[in-house]
Amino acid sequence: MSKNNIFFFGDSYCEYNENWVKKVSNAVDAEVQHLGTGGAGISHLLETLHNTVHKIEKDDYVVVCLTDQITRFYFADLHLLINHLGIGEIDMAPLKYIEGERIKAGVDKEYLATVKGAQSTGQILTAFRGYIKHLHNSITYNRDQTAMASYIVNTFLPNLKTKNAIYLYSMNKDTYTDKKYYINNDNIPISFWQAQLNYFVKHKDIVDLPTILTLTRTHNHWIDDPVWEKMFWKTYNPILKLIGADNPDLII
Amino acid sequence: MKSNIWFFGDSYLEHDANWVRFVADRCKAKIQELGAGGSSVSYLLDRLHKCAPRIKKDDYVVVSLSDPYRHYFDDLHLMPHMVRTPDMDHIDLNPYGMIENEYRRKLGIEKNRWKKLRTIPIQMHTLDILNAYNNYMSHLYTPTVFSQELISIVNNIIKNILPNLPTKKVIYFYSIDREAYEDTLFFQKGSQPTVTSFFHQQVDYFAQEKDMTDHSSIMPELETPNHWVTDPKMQKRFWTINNPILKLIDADNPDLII
Repeated sequence: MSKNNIFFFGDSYCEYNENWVKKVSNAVDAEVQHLGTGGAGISHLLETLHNTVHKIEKDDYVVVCLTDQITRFYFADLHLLINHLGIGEIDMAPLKYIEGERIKAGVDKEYLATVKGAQSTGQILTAFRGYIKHLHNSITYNRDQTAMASYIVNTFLPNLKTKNAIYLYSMNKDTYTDKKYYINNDNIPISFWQAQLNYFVKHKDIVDLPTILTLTRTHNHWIDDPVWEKMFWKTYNPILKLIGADNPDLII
Repeated sequence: MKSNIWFFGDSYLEHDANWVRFVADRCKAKIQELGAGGSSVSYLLDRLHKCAPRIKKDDYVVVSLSDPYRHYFDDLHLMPHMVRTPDMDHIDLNPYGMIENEYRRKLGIEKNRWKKLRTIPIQMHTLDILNAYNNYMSHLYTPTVFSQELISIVNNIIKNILPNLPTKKVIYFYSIDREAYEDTLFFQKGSQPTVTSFFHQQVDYFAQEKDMTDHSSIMPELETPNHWVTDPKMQKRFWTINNPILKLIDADNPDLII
């Protein structure tokens, strides 16, 4: 009999078939068929769920990581963040970043090196800047994205062929759960990112964001420290247990 | 004390007139909210969130779901055809004028005062908005992705928000295009039956009763409050089609005319 499949949907916290992702797929003895995308937002999650749903069968597994719904945009197949405009905490070279995103989206690298290609990257940056400056309203955007996440959690996932579907928060739980009409399961633990912040503060005495960001620049932002692993599995085992993917050993 | 009735949606329920007035009268309810012309699903969501705390157990709620292609950006109701016209070339467009009109509405300035208050900075800002929207449409917008987002928002409204309002006297219609939602593979229908959209009811009427199939002839006929067509034939059609839904809140019109 062929192996069951497991589908991970979300952002960089489940981008690689390594560490916790691999451990979860091994625990349910399933083959990884889909992984998250670094920098992706809720719009991209929605699109990939819709594009992939026909492949998900009754005995398959689905793990969704709900990312931040405030600063991420999915425009023209590109994952754009407000940070890319130099507004956030991270210092970025906006053109370089957008060019990188375009390459990831499949735009020919040689074309992007031409004057025409560079101009088109500049047009995207200008458009994104104009959108943020003159059209974007963070409250409305957040509400729309939260409604989309609510649809995913409350309507889409329960209607999959499989009942082995769980979701977790990767960046921020509170930005969802303080919305009155976001119906959620209160048992879902804090986000991966929040758990990591707690780990760095409590166990490493690090509160400096740039340092933390550097230390989490790893595959799935995984931290190779038994203390973190113990924290991770303790925090998420109750949810992973719902699909029989918990790790009682608390270490990989 | 009188109950309240809340109309959420677009231009099909923008005015306290014709069918909107009739429904409010039938429910003996005071109108607390009306739709906004040109508005989108995001605006609907915004209004539902803002008004929900004031909706009471005995109130009535009527929702009209607009099409999933309209934008609600920073309190501006924007539509793709304001800057791009491939399928709307029958309409004489004035992008700057339309954006300026929206900006005037956002600022809350009456049309007759606009000329006096239309300063250079306001005109410059209107241009910024127009350029930003034009660039967004040209370089960032993907219709399939965007409509998918709005369809999921509508799905969330139907399945999670409306059933959780304090009142059970809640109905919804489609104003422009039912199929754009219900023919989508992943759309989960609510428990309420639905009927063809207001706009398609009208398109059918014009085709069958007036032999008019050309949108450029039909659109001027609909430039009325709530796009109401007073012809008794259209009224009969309107009430016959929509009465089963209106009856759910005891607001149907057996006379088929107002």
